[in-house]
Amino acid sequence: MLNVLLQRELKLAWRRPAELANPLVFFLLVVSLFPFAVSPEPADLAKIAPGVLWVAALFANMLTLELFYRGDFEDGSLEQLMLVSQSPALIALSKALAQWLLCGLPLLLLSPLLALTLALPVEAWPALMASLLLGTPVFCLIGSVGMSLTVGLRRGAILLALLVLPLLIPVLIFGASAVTSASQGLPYNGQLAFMGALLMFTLALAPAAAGAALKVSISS
Amino acid sequence: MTGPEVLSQPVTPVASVRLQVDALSVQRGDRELISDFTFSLHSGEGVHLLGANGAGKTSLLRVLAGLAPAAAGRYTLAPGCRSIYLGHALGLKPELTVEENLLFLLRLSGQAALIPLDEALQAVGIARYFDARVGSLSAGQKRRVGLARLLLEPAGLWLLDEPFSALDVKAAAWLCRRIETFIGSGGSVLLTSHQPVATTPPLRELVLGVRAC
Amino acid sequence: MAACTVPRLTQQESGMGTWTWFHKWGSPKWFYDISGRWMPWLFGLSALLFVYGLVQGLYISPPDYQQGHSVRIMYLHVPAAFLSMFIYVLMATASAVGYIWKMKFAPALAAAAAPIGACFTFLALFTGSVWGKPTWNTWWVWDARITSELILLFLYFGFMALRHAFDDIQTGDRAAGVLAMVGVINVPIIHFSVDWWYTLHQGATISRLSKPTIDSEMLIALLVMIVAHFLLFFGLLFRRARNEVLWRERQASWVRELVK
Repeated sequence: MLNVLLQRELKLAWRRPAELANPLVFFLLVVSLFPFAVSPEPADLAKIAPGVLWVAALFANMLTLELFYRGDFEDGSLEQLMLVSQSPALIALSKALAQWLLCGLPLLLLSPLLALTLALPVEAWPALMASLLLGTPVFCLIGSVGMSLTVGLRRGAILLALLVLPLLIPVLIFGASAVTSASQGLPYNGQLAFMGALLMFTLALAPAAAGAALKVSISS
Repeated sequence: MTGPEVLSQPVTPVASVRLQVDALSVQRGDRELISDFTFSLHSGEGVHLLGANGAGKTSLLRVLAGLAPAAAGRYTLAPGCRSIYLGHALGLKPELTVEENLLFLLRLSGQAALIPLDEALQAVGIARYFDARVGSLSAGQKRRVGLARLLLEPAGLWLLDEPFSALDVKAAAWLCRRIETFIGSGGSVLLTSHQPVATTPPLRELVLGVRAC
Repeated sequence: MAACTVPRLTQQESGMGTWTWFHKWGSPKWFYDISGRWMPWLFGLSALLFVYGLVQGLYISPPDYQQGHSVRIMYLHVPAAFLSMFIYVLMATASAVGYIWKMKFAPALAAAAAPIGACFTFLALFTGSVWGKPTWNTWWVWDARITSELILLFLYFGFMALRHAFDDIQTGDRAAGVLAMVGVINVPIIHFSVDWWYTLHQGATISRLSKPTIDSEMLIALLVMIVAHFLLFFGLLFRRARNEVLWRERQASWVRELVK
């Protein structure tokens, strides 16, 4: 059933390609602002690069959450999905997975390019990609919980940020730290290990929580 | 509280109970719309829910479909019975074609189609729109796509909220015939409609929102 | 053609069943009565303990040999920080109870506790900042504890904002309940991460909000203040929760009787 749901999400998103490009453009834009705001010196940029890349990835990911939920809620598809599949957790998981494939993965693949513009040393690039690989799924999973809670609300976007961002601080801490350590030539296995554990933990619990949240959202 | 019911169709003693509602209370916001409602729906029986706007017809259907929790009481579906709920919002994706929408829901349900897709589309009168995006259809056509689900997916209980809205006279008559056939073969129907439902025999009517005080 | 194939059980039990004692215990009216009786005691006792604790803490107990008199802020800071965590857990537990067992007064309790928890968290932040000023000569520092409290404050805000965003009280309760349960699982993770992050960056400039060596006089004052705060919290909680219960049950006959 996950397969069926996932195919649906991918097919739907594919029919609205313009909306998929937005987060990538946003990512690019935000990162480009920092040299203007801080300084064009490579030394300065390299220092802030891990943090900037991670925060920008976080925001870009959050922007795309609505795409997978709002439409379904408004045309009644979400209700029918829940009734026919009888599995809200799978629905949430399929949406998180689709979001990761269509938004998280491109972000990940685009990150070296942006790392280049922020003068992040090449030694840190593998760490950047590895940390994003482990971190972006967590963004999507926790995002799915927050989005499921707010999908029924008008103007739920800011509330979504308030709900989701505090929960993502641990990922941010360890992810950015992995990149920083790598750029200083230090080992970063510990950070990645923690992030891996966090991913497993979130993967186990988030779909159920998001499913419960979906049930609440459609009941009003 | 439920008012007087007008029994216009005797229930055969052989028919099994498909939906049992016991002391159900339905709340909307802070107001209790329906309280202590007890009722049985048997196989081969159809019920037309009546009531003023805001009396709780849609809310009741949603609770019985499993979309919203009841404030109190319980309802039980016969074991092994599948239900189809068609609500105000049709649950169709405008970006997908008619065919894709219907086949997806069928695949998701894990059921085998009762009749081939083209037959179903033929029956509801939108056969030539099978590859049209639902977003490009009119309201009446969209409603027909929704109704095609009733032909495709096997179910024992139909929960229909205003199924006749946006349908023209011919389509409405067709739907009445379909409901008759379904009931005749042992299915159960619970529907709301502002218009009279012209089935033969007529459906049992249940009026909501009449307070006995 | 009708067909019954896929098994589907959709049942909902009412509040009354084999668990009658459990649910009588959870009825809003019972809660209203019990809390009414306890409240005067809670407030009275807490007031007494506050007086004792403050006298003990501000006058009798000695100043810290390192931090001097500024350590006395800990008699307000530590209980506030304690409570901020405790209340969040209480909120999450009440939400869980309300969500799983559908006891009607539980979500009201969670809703009532949230603003109080947020206030105590803010107090902890404020007193923490005041405590830090003499040590670091700045009003704000990203110390591990203060940062954790800040994140906790956001979690409280999120709960309250989500609950109020829904028009329907029940839906709001359930949504906020899910959020609280997710949050409470995350709080240890957040704590651990912030701690780790802080120690990572422990450079020359920042050092931990040093725990003063506890003199027995200080300990007495601290414990008394903690208990006093707890009692005050429960008094405030009951007060707010009773209001919540009255509002939610305003259609019920016992409330109408009360209001007459």
